[in-house]
Amino acid sequence: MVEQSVITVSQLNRYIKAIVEENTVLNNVFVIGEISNFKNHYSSGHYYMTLKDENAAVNAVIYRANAQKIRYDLYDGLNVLVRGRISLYEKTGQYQIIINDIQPQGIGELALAFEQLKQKLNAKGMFNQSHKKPIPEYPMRIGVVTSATGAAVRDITNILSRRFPIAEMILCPVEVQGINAAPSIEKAIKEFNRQNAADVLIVGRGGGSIEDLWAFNEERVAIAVYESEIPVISAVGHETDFTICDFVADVRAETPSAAAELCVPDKENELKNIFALKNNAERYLKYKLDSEKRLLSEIYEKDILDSFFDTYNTIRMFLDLKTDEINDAYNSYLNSKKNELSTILKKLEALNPISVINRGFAYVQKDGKLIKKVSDVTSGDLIKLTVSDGTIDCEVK
Amino acid sequence: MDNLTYEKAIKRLQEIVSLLENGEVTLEESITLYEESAKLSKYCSELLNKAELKIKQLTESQNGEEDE
Repeated sequence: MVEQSVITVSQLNRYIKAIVEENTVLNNVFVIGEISNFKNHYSSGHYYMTLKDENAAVNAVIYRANAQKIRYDLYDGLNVLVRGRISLYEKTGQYQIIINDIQPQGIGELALAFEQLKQKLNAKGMFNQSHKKPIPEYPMRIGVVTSATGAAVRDITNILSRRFPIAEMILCPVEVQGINAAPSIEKAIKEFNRQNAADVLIVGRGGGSIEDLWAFNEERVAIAVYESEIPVISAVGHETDFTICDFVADVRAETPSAAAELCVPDKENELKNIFALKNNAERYLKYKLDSEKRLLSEIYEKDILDSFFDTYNTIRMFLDLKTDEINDAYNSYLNSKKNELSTILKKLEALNPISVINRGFAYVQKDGKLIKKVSDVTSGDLIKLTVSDGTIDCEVK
Repeated sequence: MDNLTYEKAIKRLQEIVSLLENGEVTLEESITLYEESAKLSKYCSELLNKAELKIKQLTESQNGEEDE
């Protein structure tokens, strides 16, 4: 009788584990399934989940080192394709897939990561219009965060030189793709803010694949842009490329060239504007001079003289009227006095001795004195008789 | 005027033109303003025409804190 060897559970599991792990097929499997019971084990950094289809399920784990490389969030219900190896967990005797790579099905992993971050930041209000700062009208210091060697910096330099050469361009060269790109861009934005070294920032790079542009879809860049006190113009890739940075930035420009264009005023327009302002100043001054002149000539030719003559004529008419009244009054006064006088004259006439003499009487004077009685004279006195046409000298007898 | 920024100069020029436009200033003031506007427009045009874009590189300031 062949004696059957007896082993412990531990030995059993270790034995099966060894068989499984030696199997070259099970060492590198590709499996599709739907994620359920997803668990992010924060303290260890490992991800645990179950992969399932309609009829079956299997445990799976992603160790920390691989978990960190995944750009999107895993969640229950997500269909994935995984590559990994099969192992056995000795403690429970359960086998599991140790995942090295995981990709979403039906959607690119970057597209998924992009959508997830977009939703997350949008939910935080980081795309809100109310948070967006205006670009200054005349920025004098233009900060540029891009590669020192790319087409973007060349385009931006050319356009700034042509449009608004009185400004200053301050370049902070960064890596724009690869593993260091996002930290490098984030640091540059923060440094500009810390030094308050620019009035506006252009953050971007020229065109490339979604992988090339990926740094501008990373959360740390988005947060740096969002927190920037200096207004940020995002300028990543071509017109058709949208990045998270575009959504968070104060302004999205379609390309780095477009960013430079909308960042500063155009010299030619400014010169036209200055010319127009100058012309307007001249024109308005001329209006002013003309209207002052007109006012003056109106004063001389019309208003003042007219009103002077108006007043003069009024006074004249008044005076004429008054003169007539005075004349009338004077004449009637004069007439009444004349009448009075002629009455008196008539009375006087009646009393005039001459008129008595004219009737044949005479009056007698001696030595210039009137003789009224006989006793006034003695014989031999010389007396004078006055008659109507003269005097007669006589001697008393 | 030599230290005036382009922005300040152009804003002042715009202000002067609107003062002249609404015509509520006296003739003497108008003339003074006009003279100022002529100087400003010359100054602004010269700034634009003579300038060449200055390019420099952002240097990390000495007192920068280490953040990594």
